Amino acid sequence: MAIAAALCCAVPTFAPYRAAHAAPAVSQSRLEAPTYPAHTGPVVDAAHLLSAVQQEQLAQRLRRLREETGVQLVVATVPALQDEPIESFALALCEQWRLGRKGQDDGVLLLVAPTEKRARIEVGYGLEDVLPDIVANQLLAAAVADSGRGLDGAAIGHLVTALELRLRAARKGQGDTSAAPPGLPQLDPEISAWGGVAGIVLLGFVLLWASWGRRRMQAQPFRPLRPEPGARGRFVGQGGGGGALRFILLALLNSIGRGQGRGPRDNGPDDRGGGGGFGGGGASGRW
Amino acid sequence: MRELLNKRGLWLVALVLCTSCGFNDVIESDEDVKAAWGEVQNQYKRRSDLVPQLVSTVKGAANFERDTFTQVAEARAKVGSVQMSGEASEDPAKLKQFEDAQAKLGSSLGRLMVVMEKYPELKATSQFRDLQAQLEGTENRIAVARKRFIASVAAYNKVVLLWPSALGAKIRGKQVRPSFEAAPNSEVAPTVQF
Repeated sequence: MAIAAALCCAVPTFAPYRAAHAAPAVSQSRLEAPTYPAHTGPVVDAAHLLSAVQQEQLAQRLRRLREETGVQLVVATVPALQDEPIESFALALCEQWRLGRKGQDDGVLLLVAPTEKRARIEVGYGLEDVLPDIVANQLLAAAVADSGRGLDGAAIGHLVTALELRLRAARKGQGDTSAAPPGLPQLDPEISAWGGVAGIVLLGFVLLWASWGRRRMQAQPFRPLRPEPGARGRFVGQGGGGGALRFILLALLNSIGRGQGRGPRDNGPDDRGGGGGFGGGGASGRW
Repeated sequence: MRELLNKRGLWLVALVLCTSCGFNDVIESDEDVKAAWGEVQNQYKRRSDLVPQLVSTVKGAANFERDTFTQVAEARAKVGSVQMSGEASEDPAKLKQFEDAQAKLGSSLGRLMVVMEKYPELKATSQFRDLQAQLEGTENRIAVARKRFIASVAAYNKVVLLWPSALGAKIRGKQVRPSFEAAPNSEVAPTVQF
């Protein structure tokens, strides 16, 4: 019994550091985090700046862009920034929605906040050569100045065109056709490998105990399922071994399953990239 | 005798399994801190490299702002002198020195940009606009890198201080790390004397 207890206490220590101490996203250091819109698609128009037709057309363009270049460009409008600076709001959205592909960091977010009259283009690490701060600033400034009323539906469309142009030119043909179909959560290979290692190690211990117990019990006649009162340390035998084995196997399965715990995230339909990295690059504009 | 052996074996196994407590976790979190610190230094250096370009762009149009330029140049020199090794300093005093030097450069740059508001013909040039965009971008990246560094140090300190991972940390000889104290430019914005 004590062995099983010790093993169960040890099981959490095999759980990888990353799963147990998942670093909180940058924006969650606030005491009351603002409510972020859900990631429903490539166009999230929470502030109702776009007509239904505009939304659909834009979404199609962005999906095609993603297929052809792999870049996940998302347009989001929010009715209120809720007192959070637009830079951290945009970064929080990028992290929560897991934009871009893991390892390639090719996510871009265009965030428009018409109430506060601000907009931001947030660029992932992997696209900082295509959309450096200067270029993002120029495009945003041009779009804002264009209509004279700041970024409305039409201006957003023009801005997306300009972004698309640059992204297509730089990332032509890098679409990822081998991505898993939407709806299936991507298993983090690192965590599942750890779970496998933990499972193998524990299985090794279990087999060692079981064989040790069985060898010592060979000469003995049939033993009752419950260990005798005087045999505290020898329960890993015939019947007692079976009971402990079941308990340990449960703990094993527990440890493998445990590795899949993660922080909060939005498992929207476009979540298959796995989440690229963002460093705060891009540009903000206001009108 | 056999029972005693079993008991001892039992405790040995438990001890062996328990020393995995934090033994590897502390190294993993330490590496995270080092990576986050590398990023912080990267972004601060990026800002420092922007300064000469910025100053030369505005100097022509704003010859009378000699004080401001001197302040910026001095702050940048100070930053260059307070160099920290590639690894985050485990000495809280040195870390504070580094942070203060960077904050001074940040505030003198802020003052410079405020002063440049007086020169609309300079503001209109694309060169100035580009530099302003780069500076704002760099400040944002610095803010993000700082927040991530603070978060990684907090996670590392948790591994070092909480039981049972404190055992493994002690075996490895890892200690609590200092962190940044405040957000940059959290002091009141400087008022420019005209």
